[in-house]
Amino acid sequence: MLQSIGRALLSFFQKAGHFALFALVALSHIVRPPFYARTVGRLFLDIGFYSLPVVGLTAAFSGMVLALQSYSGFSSFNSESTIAAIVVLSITRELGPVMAGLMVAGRVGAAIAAELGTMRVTEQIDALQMLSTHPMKYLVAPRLLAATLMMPLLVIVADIIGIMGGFVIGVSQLGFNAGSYLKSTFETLEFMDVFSGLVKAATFGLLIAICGCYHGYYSRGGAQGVGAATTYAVVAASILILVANFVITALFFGV
Amino acid sequence: MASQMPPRLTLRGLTKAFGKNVVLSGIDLDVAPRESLVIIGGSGTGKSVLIKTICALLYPDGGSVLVDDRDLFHLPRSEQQAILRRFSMLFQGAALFDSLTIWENVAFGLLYGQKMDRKAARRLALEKLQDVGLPERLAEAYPAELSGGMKKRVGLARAIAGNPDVIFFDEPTTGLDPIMSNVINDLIVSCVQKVGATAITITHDMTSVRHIASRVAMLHQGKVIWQGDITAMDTTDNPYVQQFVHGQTTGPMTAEKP
Repeated sequence: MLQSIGRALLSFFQKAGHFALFALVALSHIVRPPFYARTVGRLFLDIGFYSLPVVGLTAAFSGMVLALQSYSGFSSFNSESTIAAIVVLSITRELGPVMAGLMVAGRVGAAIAAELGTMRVTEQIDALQMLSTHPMKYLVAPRLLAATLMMPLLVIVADIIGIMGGFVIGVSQLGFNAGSYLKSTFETLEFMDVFSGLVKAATFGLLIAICGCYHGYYSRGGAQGVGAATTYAVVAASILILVANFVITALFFGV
Repeated sequence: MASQMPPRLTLRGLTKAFGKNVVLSGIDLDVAPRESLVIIGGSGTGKSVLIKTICALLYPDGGSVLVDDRDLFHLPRSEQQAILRRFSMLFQGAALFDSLTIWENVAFGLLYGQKMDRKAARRLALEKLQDVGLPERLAEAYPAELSGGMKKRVGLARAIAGNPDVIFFDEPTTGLDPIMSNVINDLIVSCVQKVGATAITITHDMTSVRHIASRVAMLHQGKVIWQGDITAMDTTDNPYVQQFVHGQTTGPMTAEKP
């Protein structure tokens, strides 16, 4: 019994150490030349621009649901300012980055793991090495950079769309005055609310890319291995996003 | 003549295991400059592991790989990289990069390894495509649009694009019809001669062996059990070589334990 617990713990720490080492090496390649500007540009488009629809839709419906739920919960203290404040703070601090993070983990994290996994099992990563190109530098570092820089931009868009979703429901369904709803929104919103959300977004982007790259890079065993790598990448990224969300929230708003 | 030159590659006591599975158990082999060595052996005898270890895609557990008398695994990283830049490989499935066009695949080493200007690299890639008998119009296509034989040709064009000193061919005719196999064999011979490279090929295909090889080595249970000129392959009395060359089902090797 004790032996198996010990073995499991050792294995966990070994894997965690391997993962951390992979992340550190990959990060070090971001700042060391050569830089692959063309690849990074393409990834900006793939990770940022093409994630806009899914992130936008998620944010819009989150904002709308939030307005409806807060209204049903707080109708006894009914006021536009309360609902507007709840929507704007929830979206910018929590729902914007977390929902966008989970959506991007599903879309981008899975795609990265599948792409790198396929490259591994079809010997394309070996081919890169044979062509004097470091796979960490050519494949991993650009993805880390692109995901880390694109996620905050996506979350800014998600914040705006989410707040607008709440606004639309507030005005059209709940009968609030548009001007006073917006006034309350801007009065409640502080720089730190948006900033903390963007820090979360960058962190989530980094975690999504590291998980996708790590599981893809070390996948093996053909199609089944690539499938497993994709699943692990999404699950690991989702869990790490929720853990990191707690840690960052505690750092910014903890007492 | 080739055997009188100092060897380009010298393997001594090379060992590699994956857990308890010992794949290479002391490989000794010399390869002369411009020689075309073909390594034969049953499935699972470690042929792929051997060439991947020579190329430093895998790290050996023991022994040495000398390239022009310099121990590849005991050199500073920059010097090791300089030596590895002189190697190239045609992979079994061609291993073309899906997201890049055909000319970018061929020119990849020139663009990113040698930092060549894109225009010059494209021009050179088109020349290499011509060398392997592919039309210029395919330059802008993607690997998914090509047949298996065409992919192999592109892989060959990529392998010779940087004028390497040593080219490795991993099962170059696997999965191809006999006619396309012979086309690839011819291309390998002509391209290797044109570049002036040393060639190391692993294959099961005896037609390929007779087409490509100037010398043959046979791997069995992680060791080189026979090596000699291609002309000696048919006359040797080594029972393993005889069984393999003639594809006999009876002999010292069994299907379960090659």
